[in-house]
Amino acid sequence: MSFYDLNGKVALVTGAARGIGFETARQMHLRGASVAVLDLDAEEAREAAERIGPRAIGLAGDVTDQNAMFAAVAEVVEKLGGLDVAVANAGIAQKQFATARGISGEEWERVFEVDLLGVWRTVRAALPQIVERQGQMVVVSSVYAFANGMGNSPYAVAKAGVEALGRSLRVELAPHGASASVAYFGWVDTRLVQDAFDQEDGGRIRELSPDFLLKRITPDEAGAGLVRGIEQRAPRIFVPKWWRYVAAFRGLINPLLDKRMESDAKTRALIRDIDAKSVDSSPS
Amino acid sequence: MARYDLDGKVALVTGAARGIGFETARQLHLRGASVAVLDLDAEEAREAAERIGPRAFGVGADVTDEGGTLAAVAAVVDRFGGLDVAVANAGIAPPTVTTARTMPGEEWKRVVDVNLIGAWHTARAALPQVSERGGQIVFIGSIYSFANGLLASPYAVSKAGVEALGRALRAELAPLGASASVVYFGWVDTELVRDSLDHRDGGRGARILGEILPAFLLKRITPEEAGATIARALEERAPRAFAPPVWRYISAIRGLINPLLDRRMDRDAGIAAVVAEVEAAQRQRA
Repeated sequence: MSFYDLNGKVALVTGAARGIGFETARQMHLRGASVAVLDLDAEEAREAAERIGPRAIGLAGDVTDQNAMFAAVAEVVEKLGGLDVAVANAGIAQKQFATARGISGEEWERVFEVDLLGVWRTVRAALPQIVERQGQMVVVSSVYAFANGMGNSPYAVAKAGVEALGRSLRVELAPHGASASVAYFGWVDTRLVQDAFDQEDGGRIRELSPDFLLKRITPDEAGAGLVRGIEQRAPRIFVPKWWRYVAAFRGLINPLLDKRMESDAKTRALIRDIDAKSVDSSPS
Repeated sequence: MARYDLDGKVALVTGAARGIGFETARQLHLRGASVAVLDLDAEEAREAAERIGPRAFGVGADVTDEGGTLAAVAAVVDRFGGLDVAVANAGIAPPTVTTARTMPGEEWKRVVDVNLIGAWHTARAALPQVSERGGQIVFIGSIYSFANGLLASPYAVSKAGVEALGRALRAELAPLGASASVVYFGWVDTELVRDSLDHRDGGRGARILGEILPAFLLKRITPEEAGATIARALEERAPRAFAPPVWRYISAIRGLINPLLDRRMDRDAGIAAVVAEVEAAQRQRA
């Protein structure tokens, strides 16, 4: 497919005050796009936009509120003249690793609300413009779309759902000349991942995986990968790239990895500890 | 693993007034289990339980309401003294076959609420009993857990999520001697499938699928066969089960074939025409 030139386009990125979202917005701006930086906090969004440059605006918006997302897109159209590319990036993780049994119901559903329904609300708000302008809808999934979500189930559930949404959308948008992409990131050195893995149990989860799977990339590399994918209208964007091969063999290796996880002594000990902690700390 | 004997166990099946849920409850009862038949309508649940037999009882509850599922499990424990097996079967299809762009937001979200959040609520309510008794939770995945969800996106989203939940839960339950399974069905000849494929919009759904899938993948199984698959998966504590069995192989190579199939669909003129047709029909309806 031909090169999609970002120069002169208008892009909206959710969760863009920092991390992958910020880097994606910054790099699209470098390529000549006008960018709307959306985040929960208006002040942080504005500051991020200022750091990005003259064609960036900051917007406050909560992806769990559909009307707020409709209003945000309306504001982008009013201030920047339209919307060509929307990147549904905003996401959260649970505060600490916890089993589905031990996590509080509110926390589980909150992760789901932001990470899956938030993406869907962004999609709904952006699609009329994207279709009209033959633009692109990028949904940010994760390697958790296919990796086992042990200790992190709402995140895995949400990211598997995001992948399914993005794939469906791509087929549904094709007749309109618009497209959708699913982005899968491994471990990116963002606050979300630092918070998760720099705690004690995070370290133990790391020990269970081979080192090459755990190499953290910078938000800068994640943003660059995403922008390259947009320029190619790629159906799937993997950063680091070799996750593509893990994804390709998922149907064959997941049953084996899942089985190993069930019987592995270290994994079982870890689950027992996480379970004990989370079951204790959750209100009964 | 040793065979899990259902005789004397207590099972709860959601969405069990008819279809796959009813058949599952009936067959677990045949194998000696006491069964709680949960459905939205208490009266229909009670009638279904009566048809099943003496160790069956009906409970009315809405799986989208966490309080409702908690109360239902409490009622089961009260009645039968515990709970060993929960089958999170309740599910709906989108009332309209159309694109994510044109499907009314409430319809889209309702499917995810029932199929995914409903399964989550069922699992949450059942987990204390199931983990204590070394029991089992069964999730109903679908070939839509890995097939492209075009014109049925909330269904695909919810079934992909259910699969992820079942896999994570299985790993988390292993140290407790309890387990979770994901059962994937193709097309089962239930009201859900007949309504969404054969009846609505003059059978447009079935016509679209005929466009996308070869005939051997469209073969429908009966609810009896689906229920038997679930009962067998429980007896084997299987991590996953597929009916028809051919889908196991498609699932195994999903990561390799999905990019190719998705790409073919992107460019398929027949699919483009169908998308245009459903979107036009949806505009007219609005």
